[in-house]
Amino acid sequence: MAPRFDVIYDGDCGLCEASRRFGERLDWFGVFRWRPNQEEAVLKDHPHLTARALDGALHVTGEGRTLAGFDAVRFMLLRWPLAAWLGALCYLPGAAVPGRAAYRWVADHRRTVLACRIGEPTIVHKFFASAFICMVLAFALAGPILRIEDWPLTCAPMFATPLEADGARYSFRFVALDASGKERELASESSGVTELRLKRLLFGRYYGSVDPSYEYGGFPADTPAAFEKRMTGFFDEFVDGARKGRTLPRGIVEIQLVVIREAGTARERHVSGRYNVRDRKFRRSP
Amino acid sequence: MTAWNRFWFSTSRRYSIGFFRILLCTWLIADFIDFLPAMDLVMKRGETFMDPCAGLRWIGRLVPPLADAADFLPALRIAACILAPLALVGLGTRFSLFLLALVNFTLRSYQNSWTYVGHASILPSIALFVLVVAPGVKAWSLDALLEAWRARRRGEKFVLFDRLAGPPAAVWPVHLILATAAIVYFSSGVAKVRWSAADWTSGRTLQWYLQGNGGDRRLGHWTQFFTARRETPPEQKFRDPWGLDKIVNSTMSTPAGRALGSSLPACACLAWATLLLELAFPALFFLPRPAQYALLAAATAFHAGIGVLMGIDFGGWATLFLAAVDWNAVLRRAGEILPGLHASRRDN
Repeated sequence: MAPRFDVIYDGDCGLCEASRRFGERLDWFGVFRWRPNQEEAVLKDHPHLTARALDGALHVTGEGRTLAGFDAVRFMLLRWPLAAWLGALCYLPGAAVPGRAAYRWVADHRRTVLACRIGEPTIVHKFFASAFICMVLAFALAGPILRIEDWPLTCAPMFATPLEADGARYSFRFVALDASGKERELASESSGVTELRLKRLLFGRYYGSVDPSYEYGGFPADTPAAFEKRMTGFFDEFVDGARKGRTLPRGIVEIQLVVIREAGTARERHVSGRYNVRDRKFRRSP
Repeated sequence: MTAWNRFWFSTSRRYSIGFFRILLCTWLIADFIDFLPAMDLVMKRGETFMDPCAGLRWIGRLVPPLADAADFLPALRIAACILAPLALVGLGTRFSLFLLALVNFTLRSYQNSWTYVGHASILPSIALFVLVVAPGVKAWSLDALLEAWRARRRGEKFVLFDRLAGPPAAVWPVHLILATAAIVYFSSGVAKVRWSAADWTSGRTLQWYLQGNGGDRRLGHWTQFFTARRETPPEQKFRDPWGLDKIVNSTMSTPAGRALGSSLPACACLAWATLLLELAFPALFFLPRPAQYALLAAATAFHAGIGVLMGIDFGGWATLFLAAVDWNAVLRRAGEILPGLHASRRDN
């Protein structure tokens, strides 16, 4: 279908150029042909228009009609299927007064306050991009400032760990005891979670740190009773997961939580507590 | 306000966010080769010890069923396999990038929902969202090629290179990606000074990590270590006699890492270099271009070093630095060699 109306806009204005791109996408029936007012043939084709008028506002002209500014905009909106509802709203009684005033303000300030030169970001782009930039930067800062390390927030301690003088390392082990008292090491994976993750989770959510303000495992006003309760919850889950995955050997009556300390060649172990598989209770070692 | 506008919204041909899209998606596809099959473990894991990470909790607020049902994971995995190549070649560029960013975010959120933070995947995942809204992201895409083809059919005359490279675009996407990296590096450097200053600068901490699982008596094949605060009052040490206080980062020290870890002076040099790099990274935006490239090359070498010595892959972060390269100039040079892809004008 041949275009029935010419839309004459300021080809040097970024906002107008963005409107053209937007308008061309919405113009499913090809009703409008967009032409920059800098095009020499425009004034020849529409002798009733002046260069000054075209510089002041967007114009729609064709079929014996010429509309300018807000009137031209709502005329186009009404003829774009996806925007017709908006066009209809603009024709409601009383809508023209604020509409024309807003259009006039934008048109008059497009080269000063709005500073939208072609090829450069428009004021609208700058506004939304600035909001987006602030959001992403706030997001990146939230981890370190609030000391939250939880994907995708990072407090980025990244190996910033103070060490003991002898460079000791600590780890956990799970040791299962059967009815005869025979010990066997229980792999962390028995619970269905890999060793690294399970031990972080054990420490951070159940075992707890001596530092009550630590983000992973800080339990303010922690007590031995609260510790036992948390650890009971941990082993309940551990045993259920192991049973579901059929990785818990039969006949196991107790699981010990062992803390290992290794410094140089010396190695120490401490049984932190025992979980009775039958009565499902964790008891701290005295 | 003027400084803000100049920093974020000046336009330049120097960056090609479209070509960076290709590089980031290439890294993502390479990463998916390991990451997506590893999701099998997550899917089998069930709800035991499930502790939704922040990302999954956010998703849960927007789309509640997605946060609760791991049944979505196989479908999301297939979607990731389809969307990543689409975003790479740039077909429905913005839409495929948007979906890819969401799918990738959801999958990574699941993977990190067992009290583990995969730091290496954080910045590339954020960068994908930046690409979604970045001006000029359709450059060097099939979409741009199709538009050029349509324009040629309409009788327009143009140089194909210019059409594919697109017009100059605002620099804010590249600056934003580098700024987020700068925040993470700087805060990481500050944490080292704050928490383990003397231990870090003496090289002891780095040595401790490099020899992490290389001792004679290993505590586990690939275990999680902790530190203790021995001076804690006895009444607070009711869990164990030593007073465990912190989780430490995990490494998978390589033979090269363990060899280097045997020398404290070498560890001290690397520790100082790391600290300087992390604290100096925000200066990137104030340096002349050659110094910028030198800093980014140093940061890339830093991540390569982490990979070689500690076995931790931060390739995604190094890929982000490629956003700062003037790819249009590189391609223009290539165009001088390759027939049919010559540019009409020099870099401006």
